Amino acid sequence: MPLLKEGQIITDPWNLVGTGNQQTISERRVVISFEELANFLENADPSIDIGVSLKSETDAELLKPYITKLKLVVLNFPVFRDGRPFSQARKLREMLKFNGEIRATGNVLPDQYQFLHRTGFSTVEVAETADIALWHKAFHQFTESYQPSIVSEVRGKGLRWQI
Amino acid sequence: MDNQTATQPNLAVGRYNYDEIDHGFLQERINQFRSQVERRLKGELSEEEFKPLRLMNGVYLQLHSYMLRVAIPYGILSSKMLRGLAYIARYYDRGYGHFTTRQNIQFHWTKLEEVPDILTHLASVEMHAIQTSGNCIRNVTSDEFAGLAQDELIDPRIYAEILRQWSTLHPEFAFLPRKFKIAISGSPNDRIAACFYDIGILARLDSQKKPVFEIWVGGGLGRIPVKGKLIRDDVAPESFLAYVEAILRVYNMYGARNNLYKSRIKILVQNMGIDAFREAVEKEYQVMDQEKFKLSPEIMEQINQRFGRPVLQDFPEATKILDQHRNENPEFNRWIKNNSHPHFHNDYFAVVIALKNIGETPGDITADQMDAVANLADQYSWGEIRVTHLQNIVFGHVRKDQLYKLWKELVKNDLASANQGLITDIICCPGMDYCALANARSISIAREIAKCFADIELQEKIGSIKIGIDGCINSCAHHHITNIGILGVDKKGEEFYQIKIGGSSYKDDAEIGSILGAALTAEQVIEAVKKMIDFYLDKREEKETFIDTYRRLGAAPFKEIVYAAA
Repeated sequence: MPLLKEGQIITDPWNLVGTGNQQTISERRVVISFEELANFLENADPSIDIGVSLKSETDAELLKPYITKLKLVVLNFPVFRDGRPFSQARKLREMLKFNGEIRATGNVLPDQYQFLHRTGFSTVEVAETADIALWHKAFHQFTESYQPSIVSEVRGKGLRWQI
Repeated sequence: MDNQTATQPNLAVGRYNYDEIDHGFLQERINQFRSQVERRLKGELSEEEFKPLRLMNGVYLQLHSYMLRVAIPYGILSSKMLRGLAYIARYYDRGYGHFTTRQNIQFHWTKLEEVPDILTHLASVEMHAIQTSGNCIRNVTSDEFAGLAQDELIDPRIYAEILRQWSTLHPEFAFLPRKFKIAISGSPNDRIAACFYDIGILARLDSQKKPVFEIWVGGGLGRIPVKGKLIRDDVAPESFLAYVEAILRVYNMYGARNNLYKSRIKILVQNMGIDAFREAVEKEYQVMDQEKFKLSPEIMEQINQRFGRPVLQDFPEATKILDQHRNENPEFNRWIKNNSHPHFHNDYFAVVIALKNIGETPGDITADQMDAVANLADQYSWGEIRVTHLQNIVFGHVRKDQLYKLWKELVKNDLASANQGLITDIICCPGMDYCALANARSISIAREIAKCFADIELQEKIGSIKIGIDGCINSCAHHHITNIGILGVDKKGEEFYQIKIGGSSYKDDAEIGSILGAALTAEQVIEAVKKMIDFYLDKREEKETFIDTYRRLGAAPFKEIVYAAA
C-alpha cells in the first residue's frame, strides 16, 4: 500500500503488509505487535531495526521501557472516528521523547492529514485506491493554527502558529 | 442618543474582532467544507464518512431538512453579525432563527448544497459553524453579564476567546469519544451552571487575593445527569489553557468509545474517581511544554487588543431620570424591576430582552426582530448584543436615562416582555417540531404553560421560578436542573411527559431534580404544573420562592397534589 510522507509517496523501507503479528520484512527489519515485544526483545539481535504496532486502546506509555530500542511505531486507526492514536502519537513524542518514525495505518481520511502531522505522525499508509492528489492538497489545507503542536512551527501573534 | 462609538471605532464591542489571518483561516475552512460537500455529492465520501465531517461544521440532518447551527462564541454578537443572521434567515431559511441554550443559533430549514454559501456569508460577518456539533470541543459559553457584572474578578470573554481559538481544529481533540462542552465565568457567583458542564470554570480570589480559576469537571445532563467534581481551585489564569488541554488528553485516551451512553467525561470521572482522574491529569500536565501554552502578558494583550470596549461616561443625573420614568409608567417600572441587572458603572444597567412572548416559541426570533434589535443595539448599547443560555437577549451597557426610550422601541417590536426569571420565562428545546432525536413536542407544552400564567401580576406573585421543557433525554432545555422539569417520552407512539421537581442549576445549591411520578399526557402535565403552583402559593411562607417551599416540604406533598385521584 502507498506510504505518504508530507503529502508525497515514498518508498517504504519497512514494506509492511498490514499490521498485527510479527512480520519479518528482511533479516534487518522486524515489526512486531506490542503484545509480543517484550519476549522478542529478550533474544533479539541488537543490530536489527525493530518496529512495534500498537492498538488504539493500548496506553502508549507502556512503551517506555523499550522506547530507545524502537525505530518505528505503527499506530492503527480501526475507524477514522477513533481519535486515540492522535494522543498516542503526541504522548510518544512528548512524554517518551520518541524520535523515530510514527506511522498511521488503518481507516484514516485525507481530512485528518494535518491533524496526524501536527500530533507527531511522520507517515501514513493509504489504500491502493486513494486519491493521492487529494491527500497532497489536504497536507497543505491550512496555513495557520490556533494551538501549539508537537512539531516545530513558527509562532505568530496571539495563539497562532504557522503550519 | 447618537450612535455610540467605542474606544477603537473599528472594533465591535465585547468580542474578539478578526484580523486578516483569522479571515484567511476561515476561508481555508470554508474551502475545505465546500470540497467535502462536493465529494459527498459525487459519492466519493460515504454518508458514514461525511457525517462526522459535516457535524463538525454544524450541519445536522433533521426531521424535515438539514439544520445549520451557528456558533455565537461566549454569546456575544455585534449588530453587524445579527444583521448577517437576519439575512441568512430571510434568504436561506423561513425568516427566523432559533437561539439555543448553548448560545448558538439554529436555522432549521437549510439545503446542504447551499451551506457553503451560507458559511461564506457568515464569514463576512466573522461568524462560523465550526464545531457546533460532532464529537469535538463545542462552542464555549459564558456568563451573559461578562465584563459588566459587579462581582467579576476576571473578564471571562478573553479566556473564552482563547478557548475558542485553541479548540478550533485542535489536531488531537477533533475525534473525541463524545461531544465536549466548556463554560467559563469570571465571577465566583455561578451564572453558567458550572457543575453541569464537561468543564465548568469559575473565578475566585486565592489567599493572596489574586484571581484564580476554579475548574469543575465531569458534570452533565442527558440520560445520566451528574454534578461535576472540583478538580482544582487554584489554577493561575496564565496556566489554565495547559491544564484544560491535559484534561482533554486524559479524556481522549480513556473515555469509553464502545458505548454511546458511557462515553461522556462524566462517566470516566465517575468510574476513575475524581482523585485518580486528577492524578492522571496532573501527570499529563507535568510533561507538557508549559512555555508553549503559557498565556504571557504579551499574548493576553495581543488578544485583548482585538476586543472593542464601550466608553462609559459618568452621567450623575441618570438614576434620577430613570426613577422619574419609573414613576410615570408602571409597565416600564415593571420591566426595569424584572429585566434589569446591575452594572459595575452606577449610571448604567444591563437589561434582558426576553424572547418569551406568551404563545410563541421560546428562543425564536424573526429576521425583522433581528434587524430591529441590531438597530436598537447600535443606538443604546454600543452595537453589542448578548445571547443567554436561557434563550434571551441582553443589552449590556445601557445608560439609565436612556432605558425608557429603549423600552418604548422594544414595545413597538413586541420585545418588551417583563417576564425575565418568572414562570413564563421557560427554557425549551425545539422538540419533535424540528428535532430528529425528540420523542415528544416541547414547544406546544411551553406555549400552553405560558398561556396559563399569562397574567403578569400572577407571575410576579409566583415569583422566581425556572421551568425547563425537553422533548428527549438529551436535556438541551436542562429539565434535570430546573425547578420544574418536563421531559417528553414516547409510550407506544404516544407523547407522554415526565415531571422532575426540585432541580437547581447553579453551584451553591446545584441539585438534580427528582422524578415526581408516572408520566402524564400533555393535558395532564399542564394541569399538574397548575396544581403544583397553586399548592405552593397556598403553602409558602413569607418571601419563599417555589424552590424554597419545595425544599422545606419535600416532594411528597407535591406528588400527592398532582396524582390525587380527580
